[in-house]
Amino acid sequence: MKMTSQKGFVDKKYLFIGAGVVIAVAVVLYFLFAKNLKDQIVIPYISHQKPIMDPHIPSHIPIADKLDEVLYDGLFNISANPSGITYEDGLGELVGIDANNVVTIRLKPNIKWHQSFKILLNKDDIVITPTEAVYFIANDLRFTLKRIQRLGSLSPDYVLVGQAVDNFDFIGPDDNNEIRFKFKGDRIWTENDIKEVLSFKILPHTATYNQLNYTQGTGPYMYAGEHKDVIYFPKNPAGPANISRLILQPFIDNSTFTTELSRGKINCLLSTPFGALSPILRDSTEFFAKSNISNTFFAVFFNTERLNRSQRKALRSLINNKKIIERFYKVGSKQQRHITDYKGNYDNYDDYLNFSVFPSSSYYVEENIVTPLKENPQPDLSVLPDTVKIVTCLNYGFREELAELVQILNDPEISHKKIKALAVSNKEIKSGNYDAVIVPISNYRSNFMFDLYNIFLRIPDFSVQKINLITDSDGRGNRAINVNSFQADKNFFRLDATKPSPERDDIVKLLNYVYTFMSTREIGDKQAYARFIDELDQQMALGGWLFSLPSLAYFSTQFDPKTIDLYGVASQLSTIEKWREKKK
Amino acid sequence: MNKLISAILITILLSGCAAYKELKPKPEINPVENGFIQIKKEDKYFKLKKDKKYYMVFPPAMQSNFYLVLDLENKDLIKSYLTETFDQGKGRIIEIPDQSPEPDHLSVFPISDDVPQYFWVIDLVKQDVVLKMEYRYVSRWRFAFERKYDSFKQTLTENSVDRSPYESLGTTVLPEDLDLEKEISQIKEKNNRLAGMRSELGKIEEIFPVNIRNTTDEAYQNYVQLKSDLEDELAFQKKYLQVLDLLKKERQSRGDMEQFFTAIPDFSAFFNAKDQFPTNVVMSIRDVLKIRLNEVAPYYENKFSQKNDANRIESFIPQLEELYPAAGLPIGEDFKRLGAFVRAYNKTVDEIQAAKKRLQDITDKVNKRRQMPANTFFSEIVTQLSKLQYTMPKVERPALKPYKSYRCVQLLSSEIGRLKAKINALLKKYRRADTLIPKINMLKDQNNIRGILSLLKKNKELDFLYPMYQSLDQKSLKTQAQKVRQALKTGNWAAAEQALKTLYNDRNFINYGSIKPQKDKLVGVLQDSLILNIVKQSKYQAEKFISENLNTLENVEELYRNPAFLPVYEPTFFAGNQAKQRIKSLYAELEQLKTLTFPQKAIKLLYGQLISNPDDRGVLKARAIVAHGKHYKGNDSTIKNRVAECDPNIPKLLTRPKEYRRIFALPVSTNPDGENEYLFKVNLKIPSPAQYPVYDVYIRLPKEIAQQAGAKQWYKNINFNGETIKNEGRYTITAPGPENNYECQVGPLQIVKTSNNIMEVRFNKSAFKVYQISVMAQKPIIKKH
Repeated sequence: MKMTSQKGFVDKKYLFIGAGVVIAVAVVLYFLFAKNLKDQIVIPYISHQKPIMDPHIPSHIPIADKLDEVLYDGLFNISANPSGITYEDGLGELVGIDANNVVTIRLKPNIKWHQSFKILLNKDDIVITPTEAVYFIANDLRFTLKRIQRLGSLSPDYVLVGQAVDNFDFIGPDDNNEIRFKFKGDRIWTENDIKEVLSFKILPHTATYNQLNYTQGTGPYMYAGEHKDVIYFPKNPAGPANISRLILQPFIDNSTFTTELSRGKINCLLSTPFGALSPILRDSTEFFAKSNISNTFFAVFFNTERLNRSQRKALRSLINNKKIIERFYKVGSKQQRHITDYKGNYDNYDDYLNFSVFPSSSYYVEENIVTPLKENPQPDLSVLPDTVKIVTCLNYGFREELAELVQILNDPEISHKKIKALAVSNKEIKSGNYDAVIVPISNYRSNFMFDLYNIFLRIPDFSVQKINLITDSDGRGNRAINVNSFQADKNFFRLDATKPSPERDDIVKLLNYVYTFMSTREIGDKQAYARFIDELDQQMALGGWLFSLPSLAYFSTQFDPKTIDLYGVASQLSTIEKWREKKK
Repeated sequence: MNKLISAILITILLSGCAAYKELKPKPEINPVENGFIQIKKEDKYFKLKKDKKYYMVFPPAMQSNFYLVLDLENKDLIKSYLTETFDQGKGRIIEIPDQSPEPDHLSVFPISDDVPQYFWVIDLVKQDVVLKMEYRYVSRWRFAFERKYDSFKQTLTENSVDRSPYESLGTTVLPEDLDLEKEISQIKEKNNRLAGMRSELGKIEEIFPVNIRNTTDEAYQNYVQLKSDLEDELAFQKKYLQVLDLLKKERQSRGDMEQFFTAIPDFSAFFNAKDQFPTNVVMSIRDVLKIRLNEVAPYYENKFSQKNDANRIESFIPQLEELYPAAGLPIGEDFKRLGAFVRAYNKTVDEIQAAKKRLQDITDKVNKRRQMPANTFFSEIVTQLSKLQYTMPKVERPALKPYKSYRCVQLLSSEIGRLKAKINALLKKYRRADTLIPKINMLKDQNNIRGILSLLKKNKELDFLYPMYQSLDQKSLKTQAQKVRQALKTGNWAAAEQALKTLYNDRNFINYGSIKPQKDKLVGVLQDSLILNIVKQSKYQAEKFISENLNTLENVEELYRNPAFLPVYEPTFFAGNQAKQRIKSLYAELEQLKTLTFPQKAIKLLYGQLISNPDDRGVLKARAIVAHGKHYKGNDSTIKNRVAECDPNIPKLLTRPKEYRRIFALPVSTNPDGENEYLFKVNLKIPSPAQYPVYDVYIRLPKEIAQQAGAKQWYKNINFNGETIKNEGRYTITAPGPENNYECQVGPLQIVKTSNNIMEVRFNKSAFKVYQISVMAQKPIIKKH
């Protein structure tokens, strides 16, 4: 045994030397031939998860929603400064609100749609030529409002606008290009409230209601197309952006993201693997980091067709998220993955543990609207099957994290030999062949707009995010949820409200709760139904709500840190037009 | 030519119309009364041709009441008439009626002396005839008398009565021999016929010319003689009938004295005119009478002995007493005694009647008097009555003595006795009245009406006094009413009620049955007046108390226990349910003044003062308003709201979002010179479409409270639905400061839609005053970012 070890050591020595030489040569070559990222913002993405450009529907692809701030403008845009979020004039200018709650907005003239420019992408070369100017007009706003209204509760903007403007319409414009919204009379609308309500992104009226991608906007960057999966967004010549272009650089998975940043192939990493601080990015002369609130969490969704309620409760008790997160971050080991948050806390792993479908970072838990049960009762393993099959798919983002979780769950110390975790194909998951499935929930909002459709109504397909929401209209503009929204093959939990089962009443109740939570424009109802859903989940034990990932972004010091403001729940790219390169 | 023919035809036509030809006798017609005169023309008769028409003019009569008499042969061959006017048959013809008693040859036309002329017109001649006619102007009486003279003489002769029985009565002819019925019947028949003749002669006499009486006109002399013979016969028949009638009555009344007595006037009339009858007749009748008179005294004695009343005796004795001497018959002693009895008896009856009438006059004087008497009234009555008693008739008269056993005499005595007794009884009463009246008049002078009535009621037997004092009933009512009114005027409610009760229970009236409706009505009116006064005074008292205490700030609770809110008097006597109801209503009205008007006015006033100057004893005013509010039972939401505004323990409703509402923060402790604990409460009841609405509450504080909030928590405690709200967890309490206009935001507060949602804020402050705070609630919005 020892001999073998000696011999092996010699062989390895030569091997290491050779490798070192190769690497050294590679590094030299890299610096000699690597492309210069000057005047560019290069952000990685998973190549087979192309971002969907739709400002009104949440996407599960992390970069997708962030692009909303890049491509589009609202009447007012959310921005941020060192003190917090701010509202800036976008396509509109607030004139005022009168005693009858009529809000007057002056539409900015001469704002050009991106189609006012001809963009030629030749490999990585972009030529922008002005063409006939197409200006933003009131009809664009009217089209956008109608689209939001049609989307209903699928769009957070529907709730945002609907709580203030009943008819999703306005009067005007008049000769001063002013339009008037009749806001509801049930509150005093402050300037910030008005701007918040009117911060939805605006699409041109020439678009259609159901496009896969909406590439036309008025935002600081324009969509130019893609070349070899590289997606190009040149600066809008009519916009205020300082950096010339934004590039989304494709990668197979996120495992090499930190390396790519350290190698200078990208200069902006919006989320690190595990949300952890990267040891290789420690050099503050090269990189700086900025945190904001979590927007991704991992959960184990239980297959209600395969596990009955007592089994699910036992499985929930069995899955100890604290042990798992400690394993996940290798707490106490030399390989411990360190974390930090925007509040300045350090290695506060417990803060990321979730005990409810509402993550602990969310408004609902933070503000004690929902009070999840944190005590984990002793699991009754006897009710469980011999082996609980927990699966996931590693091919659609978060490969590193999911692989780690599979490994952890297979640890007998964690699973008590009751769990068999494994990575499977997306097809396997779609067929429902699992007792439970590990699903990363990305792009969740920790504010009021926490999206439960993305959890309960998402079709069990890692490759896409499709929501199976079916509603009925009463003919007077009111909609009600249809039980067909819960069909076993249309959600990860295999919940089915269309078939008889002992749990059908609770399933229907859950569906109604989810729909009311998502569609209500009343904050009180949103709070109440959040509570009801949490309480119902405590009874039904639909999943194990593991933990959230810290949200940590790294930037190359190519950029001036002072120009990049991330705050709270604001989008990481909401101030992208203000980013500047550091002056040397 | 044509004109000539027309003229001829017209002439023929006109000549055809002039068909009447005048016959002009010669000598001319002479209207002097005479015999018949032949109509001729120079000794020739007029010849009348068939179908020709004629007329003859006759002069009028020379006197009135004449006839033109025409005597014609062949009268039936013509048709004629006499008329006063004639114009060839034109115009209206008025024919004078022909009064001929023999129309076959005579025409008798009444004519007068005031017509110019008469026309005898022949308008039809049936065949050619010679007019042989005589005419005569004759006075009508003559024409009538001459024509009936023979008939009259025959009638007189045939209806004259044989006078021999009459002239032989009592001598050769005895009354008993006469067939009275037959005799009377025959005479009456003749008498009737002669009376008819007399009537006819009278009619003729009526048309005698005035100058006939002194003439020797034969017809007239015949008339005078005939008339004289007729009157003589009639006079005889009358006397004879009278005698026969007397005899007949006497004969028919035999056995029936009362029927006989009916003939006494006839006997008296006969004997009073006995000189007109022959002696034989007078003696004969006297004899008959004498027999019957002998039956009178026994008859009457028997009749009077059976008389069973004390009324006057009605008899023929007085007439009989006159008949005796007229008939030349002596009066017997028994008849004389009987006559004296009747006169004495009737005199006594008359005296009793006179006494009764006098008594009636006296009692009428008393009973019909309607005025209260003077002291001497009954003295005079007693005097008059005593005089009557003294002059009462007696039965102890000589003429009555023989008949004292008669029932009618005894009854007369009893009648006198009863009358005396009545007078005595009245005397007794009147004497008592005479004694009583001065006492009554004394009470009257004292205006003691009830005393008078009481005295009268004690002397019920003197009921004749009642009509005299009937006005006292009215006076009693008036006096008692005055007493009630006087008590009311002075506000002596108890006295008024007592007087009213006395009146209600008073039965002391002359004519209670008659006065009762009026008394009941008066009691009702007075009761109303009493109640009305109590009501008016009670309300006045309460309203005065209210107006005097609107500004009272301390011991407000005590004000509501003040008797000013009770009636000034609580009556226990009620004449009717209506009064009782009115007092009950008064309690309700006073209660309303107490629980509605007073608190309402006070609250309005104090609240107005509080609003205009909260620093002027604001806490006391607010507390007074709350105290008033506890007693307010109205439905005026404004009042209730004002009370609620001033009561820190009553949560102030916030029912509309976003609207600031001013509320008072008031001390709940009482330390005018030191620190006090203040309290205000808000009840969030804002309608919301949400099932589980959530609101943020904004409290805008006075600078005085909030200016130190940066150094020290400005509030002591904030509770929401019993749970303490702290600035941690899901709740946020923002600090008030100058940058937010000293506004504190508390939220989010989840409210229960179906119940109250009370937010209670307590803070301490070294002051004792009212702080005005503005509170608003609105829902938070759902934010995307």
